[in-house]
Amino acid sequence: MIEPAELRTLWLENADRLVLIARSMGGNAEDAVQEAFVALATEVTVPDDPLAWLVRVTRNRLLQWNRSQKRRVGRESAVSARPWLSDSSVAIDDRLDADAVSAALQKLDSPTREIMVMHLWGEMTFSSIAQVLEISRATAHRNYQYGVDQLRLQFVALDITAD
Amino acid sequence: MFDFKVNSMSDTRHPADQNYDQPNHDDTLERSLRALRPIPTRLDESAVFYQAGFAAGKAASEAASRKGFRLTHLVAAASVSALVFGNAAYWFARNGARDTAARPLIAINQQNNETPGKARIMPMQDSDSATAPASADIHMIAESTVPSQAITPDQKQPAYTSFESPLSIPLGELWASWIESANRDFMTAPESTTLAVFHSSRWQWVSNDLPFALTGTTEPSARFSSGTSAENTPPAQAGSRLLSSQLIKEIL
Repeated sequence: MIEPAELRTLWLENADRLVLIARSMGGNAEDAVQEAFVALATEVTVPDDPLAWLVRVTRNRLLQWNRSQKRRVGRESAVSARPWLSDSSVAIDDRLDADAVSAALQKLDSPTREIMVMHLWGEMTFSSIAQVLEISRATAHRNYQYGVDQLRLQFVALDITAD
Repeated sequence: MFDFKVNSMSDTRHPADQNYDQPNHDDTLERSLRALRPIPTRLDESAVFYQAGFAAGKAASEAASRKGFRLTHLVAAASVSALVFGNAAYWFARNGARDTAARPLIAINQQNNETPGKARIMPMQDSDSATAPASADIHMIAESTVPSQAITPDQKQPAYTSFESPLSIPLGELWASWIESANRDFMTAPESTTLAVFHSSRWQWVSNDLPFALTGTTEPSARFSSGTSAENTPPAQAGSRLLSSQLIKEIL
């Protein structure tokens, strides 16, 4: 089994962004993340790409729950309306409002939404994303670009101003 | 004003490009999006619990191995306990963070060789004891310090045990049931124990519906104040051994 210290490191490195990614998938994100870490704890060794492994397990868990309807909510409708992101402490000129971005992301379709979150905040490569979602790398990238464009359109429509 | 026109649709990199996964710094929108951070999960605390529980499970297993015990049951129990502990800690952290009015149904700190069954079960301060139920489905998490010789020659380690939920027993028998099971699990009586109790419906903790707290006492005449007059009630045999093979299968 994985050493406790290593497990804790993996938690600290990945928990926040994994919860965010899970939220983008809909369903009970925190439950799924916790169960993914429990599953990780029973592994003999740390996977090569721990985050991708965790995302895959989390996603499978959410899909399983949705299929069995134990959670009584559809995947799409269950995308959390709560804020997903916080403002960065890094000062940049073109700052976006975190709540506005969260709301905009929630308007995107699946899997574009998940792909954007995985790439932007999960810092996952398109190869990893492609493996998790069982699509091609090019498709993952194309969806990502589409998502960026959709957000751009949303923000233009909203005329969001930066601080 | 956010300049959306700058570098719009500027990412023309081919998928084979080595920089395909690198941030597109020319895209102002992407740069701004990356500057946002995920809201920190409130589950951080559970990682600490998790680590501790996991380490304890390993320590208990290793200790048993050194002492030459047959490991079949103990290893499984220790491992499962660690995992269950992590799960319960997760719910603890989560629900505790979500509702500051919610509190764990803490706690016993039972020292040394106190006789099981001396726990006082009483309503929480802001609860109405008249409405307190006499029994409850609960999930219990216990942290024990076992004698050093059971773990290492020179060091005491915490050990953990837990019960599968739901456990429906009269509250007066709670402590006695736990201590007996703990003794079996770890082959020795704990030196001290902290017990947290969770009301559970598939791990859901709804303490507002279960107005009980446990407090430790060393008074031999302590009575349970759960509405019964039970005192030093013998542990319930049925249901006190709850690290079932089904649970082990489910988790492992």
